[in-house]
Amino acid sequence: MIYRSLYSRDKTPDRNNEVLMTAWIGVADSIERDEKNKGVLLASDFIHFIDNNLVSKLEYSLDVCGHIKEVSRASSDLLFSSPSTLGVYKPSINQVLIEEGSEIVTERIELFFAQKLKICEEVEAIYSHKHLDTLIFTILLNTTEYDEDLMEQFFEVEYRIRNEFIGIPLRFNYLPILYKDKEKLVNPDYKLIFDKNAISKPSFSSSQAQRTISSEFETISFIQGLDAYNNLLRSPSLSGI
Amino acid sequence: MLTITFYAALHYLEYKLASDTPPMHAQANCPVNTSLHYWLEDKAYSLGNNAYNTYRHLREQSRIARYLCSNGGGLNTGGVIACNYFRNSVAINAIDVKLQTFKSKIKSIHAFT
Repeated sequence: MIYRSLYSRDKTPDRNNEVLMTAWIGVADSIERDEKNKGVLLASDFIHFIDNNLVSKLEYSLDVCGHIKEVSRASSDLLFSSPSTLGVYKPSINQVLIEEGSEIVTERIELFFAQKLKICEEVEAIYSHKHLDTLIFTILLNTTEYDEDLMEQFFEVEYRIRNEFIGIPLRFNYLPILYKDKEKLVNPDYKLIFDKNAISKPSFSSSQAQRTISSEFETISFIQGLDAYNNLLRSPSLSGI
Repeated sequence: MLTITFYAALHYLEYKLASDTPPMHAQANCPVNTSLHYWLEDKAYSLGNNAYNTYRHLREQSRIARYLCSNGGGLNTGGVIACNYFRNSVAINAIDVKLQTFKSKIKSIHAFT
């Protein structure tokens, strides 16, 4: 593990920030260079950006796996504690409005997301759950290798949903796992909003979103059945009937 | 490798936030009860579709790789492990294309050498 402590003689926020900006680039560059050098990260690579620009009590550890861990959060808080330069977090107006009518919006998002992803064969199931004001989707994928094109589609959908529902914290986690393990993977409290294997079973349970999606599947099945019936009527073998 | 590539992107993003007015830092500005990674993801979203897409690729690759490295937390992953799940081309693309794309986006906002 490479460990570096940084100490500052210059305590002004602007100065600290300038040094910090340099530090981030230094860290990012070092990691990138480390990868290109196949795992060899020299202390000299890491130190070049600090030289005489020393950051106030900011300490990092960089382990060989490339994880950056801040080992002294308290000291970092000191560095960033100036309200004049950083401000204080406040919920946006959108977030407040969403809290007032969260159920409706949440179900709209769930439906939107499920409708977009259900066409992908690789999507086995989609779950959602709320953590505080955040809506988190867990998507189970029946894939045996990372498909960049497929994931690209998912991220496009994510971006569109974020655009559609600005201000709502949305999270998406994709898990490649065999279908039979989903019970172990997913918390029982998570809400199932799409299950590929349940399309033929009209017995979705509780929520409004599930009922909506379920009824949509039934509609699709009905329309497909009707088309098949019409095709059958038009087929040569039956034309004489 | 995928994990390292993602963390490089993460720190380019931190650089961008530190360069903004007012400057921000995940540890200091991320709301309580919000994951730093999720908060940074929101910041990547604000960079536009392409940058968001790229960042999400790197993040998911990193997360999935770690998940598969830890043997799925004891779950049945069908015998799939990280080095099988990700082709070499995906890893090469991550560092040679995606990371560079993301870096270029950051550079276009706040130039650095």
